[in-house]
Amino acid sequence: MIIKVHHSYRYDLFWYLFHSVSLKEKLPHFTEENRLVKNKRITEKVIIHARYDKKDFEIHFVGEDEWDDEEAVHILDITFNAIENGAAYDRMYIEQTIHSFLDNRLPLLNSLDDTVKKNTHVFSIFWEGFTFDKNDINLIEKIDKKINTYSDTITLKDNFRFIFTQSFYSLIYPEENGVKNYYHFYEWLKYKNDYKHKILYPVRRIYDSKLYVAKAIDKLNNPNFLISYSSFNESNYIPWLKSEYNNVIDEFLEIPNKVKIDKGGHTLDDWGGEWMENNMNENMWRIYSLSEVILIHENPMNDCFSEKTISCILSGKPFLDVHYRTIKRIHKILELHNISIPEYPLPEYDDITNVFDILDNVTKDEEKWIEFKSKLIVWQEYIRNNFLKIITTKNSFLDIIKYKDKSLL
Amino acid sequence: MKFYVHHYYSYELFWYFFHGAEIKENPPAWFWENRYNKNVKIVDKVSIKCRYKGNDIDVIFAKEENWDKDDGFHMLDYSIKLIEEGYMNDRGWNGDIGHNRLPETIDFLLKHKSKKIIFFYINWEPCMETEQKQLSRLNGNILFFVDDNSVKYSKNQKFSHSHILSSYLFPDTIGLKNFYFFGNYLKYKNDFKYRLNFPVRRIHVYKTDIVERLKKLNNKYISVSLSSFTDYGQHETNIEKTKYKLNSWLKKYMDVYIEKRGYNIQDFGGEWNWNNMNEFLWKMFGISDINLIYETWQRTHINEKSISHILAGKPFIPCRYNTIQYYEDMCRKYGLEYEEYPLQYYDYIFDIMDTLDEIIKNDEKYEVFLSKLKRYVLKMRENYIEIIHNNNDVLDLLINKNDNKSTSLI
Repeated sequence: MIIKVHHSYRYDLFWYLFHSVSLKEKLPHFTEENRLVKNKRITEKVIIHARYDKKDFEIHFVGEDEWDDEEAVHILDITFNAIENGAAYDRMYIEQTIHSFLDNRLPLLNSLDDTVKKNTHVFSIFWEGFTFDKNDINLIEKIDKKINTYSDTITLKDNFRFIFTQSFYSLIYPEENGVKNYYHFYEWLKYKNDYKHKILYPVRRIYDSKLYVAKAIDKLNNPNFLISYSSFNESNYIPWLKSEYNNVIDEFLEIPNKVKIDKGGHTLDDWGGEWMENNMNENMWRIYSLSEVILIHENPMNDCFSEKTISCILSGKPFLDVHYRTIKRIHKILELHNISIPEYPLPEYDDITNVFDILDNVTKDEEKWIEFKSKLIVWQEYIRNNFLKIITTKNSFLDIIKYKDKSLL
Repeated sequence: MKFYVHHYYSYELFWYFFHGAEIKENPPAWFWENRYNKNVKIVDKVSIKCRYKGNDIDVIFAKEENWDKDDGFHMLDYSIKLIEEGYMNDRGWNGDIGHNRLPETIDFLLKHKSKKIIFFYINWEPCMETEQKQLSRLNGNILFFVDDNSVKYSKNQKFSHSHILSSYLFPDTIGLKNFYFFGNYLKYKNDFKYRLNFPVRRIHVYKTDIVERLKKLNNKYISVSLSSFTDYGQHETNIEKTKYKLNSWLKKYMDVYIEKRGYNIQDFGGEWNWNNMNEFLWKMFGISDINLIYETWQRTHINEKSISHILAGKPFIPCRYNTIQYYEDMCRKYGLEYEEYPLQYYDYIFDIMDTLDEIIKNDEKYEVFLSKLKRYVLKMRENYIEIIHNNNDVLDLLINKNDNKSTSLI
């Protein structure tokens, strides 16, 4: 099978799309174009021969050419498209990413011959749980239904199909995301044993549901808990944030005993802008050092994974989530791959405040804390090992095209 | 004191040029233009006010504008210029790319020589004759700062240790800043498989000689690691046959093979500096308590090998004691105390092979030695963090000139 990837060749793009394949030759990492300058885009065609599940694949990185090939499978990733044309730096969802696709690529895709459309596969993976059926974007209506579309939303929506392994790797690649380091950090993080606090609730962007959790923590009056908040809220990164959440932010700031995480420090301690790599670096080196366990706050309405969960899983940082739905989502992936579900050390809850009496009690008793944390680590190691096993042996997209549209789900 | 920086603004460049300055507000990290893409250049002028040792500093990032101004210093960094123009990713080895724009850059500066100009030529490599020849053309009010201070070929040539140090960190093109934060985790690990490792990446007969001597010791605590660098041949397109032979020979003796291009997550990418340093951080620091490092240029300027160890607080022994002397000289320059290095002066590592062997084999002696070496490196780390946060050699030079009421910069 010939697959034509409509991007410039990059080794990290190859791994994002074609993990778990066996290679017939060494994977190229450079051509003469970028031998010395990494950022130079490779314009020449690169062909890789690979094998997956007893099938041979010839993978052509062809850039913007060769859309007229009716026999080949065509692939386009909306984020890499935006990175290539300078609209984005990493995979964080931004309007520019989708608009660079709608404006520059979609007209071409919709004008393709029907046979090519049926062989065309577009990846829209943004960790936000939506499929652009809102506002002016409305990708669902705009993209021709004959074109195959994929997303990271687990529950299927319209004609978007869930592909787990690509969704997982979307956090690692492009490498500019800064998440890959968490995998390596795992080997070092486990040695640290002198945390000042047991549970940290880190808040970057303040809004009402985070105020609700922070107030509940404050009510516990338990010094083993810590709340941190970021200087992000003082920035103008989201212009409407202050006007829309002013009262919430004010109320949040009145909560005592919080730690402020000031992104802009002096010289070496200046963590820079709000780009993903900078945020992930700050999270890894700074936030993780504050407590033994981290209480993350994923959006319960999003049925996909984000960098918060995956970075904890990759690094082995013990974590809890404000909503049990995240735990269920993790278990769902195991279930989809016929892997048994491990026991989680907390009973099911709607939001974490439902189990604060347990956590309050456990954190105040050293023996109980050690036992609880051990169970949490056992659960998390099981998840890490199995997730890594899935992403290094499976390829959700290739499984779909291999079985001719018979998806994992 | 006013400075026109002839580059696009970035918070990292502010720290590169003006580290050590006191700031009332953090320098802006992002603007509307580059909010979503950090590679988008900030084309508008950006002004920042700060203070340094009681002096008001007015910084204007003006890129190509304001060369006509007489009321301040004009700053230009050669490598940053080339990075901005897309010729390079970082200051590291860039072959001819790094040199061939120098004549026209010097011509440009000479056209403006009536202005007070500060030119940085910091490329982490020794200055070749052709470069020296070009740089020595600079005259008038043009001061230039080079990192290779081994030869003085012009009265306009100056040395800024703090800028050399900053050049490795800002912009953080090689990921060295991570080593500083990594230090907070490295200190907990004490279950290394080996006591001393000699990492070999780029093959050289000097290194194979060291491997041979190390292996003759037959010391189970000493390891040699070999990188897949030569096997892939990206950096050097025409690798001599002898190097392949040495590579094959090394494979027989190495204890650890560092496969840079492993499968997927284990793939550390090409031989670009950012990838190399990332691999170094995550893979090479986990092999042994101490790294034996081979630096080509020891006494003249910082090398990423030793400074990465210092920033991370990783114990190291350089093949030449000159490296230690260099860092100690710098501590003295800034009035900072340092611990005693636990080895007596040696010219070359061969001079202390037997001593090292004896220490490393003996548990008690080794424990004392490692503890002293750790103290030395951690104190050096503390000093270097202080140096970069509180000092700026260029500003010091200019302030001292002002204090001396000299009319000329030279």
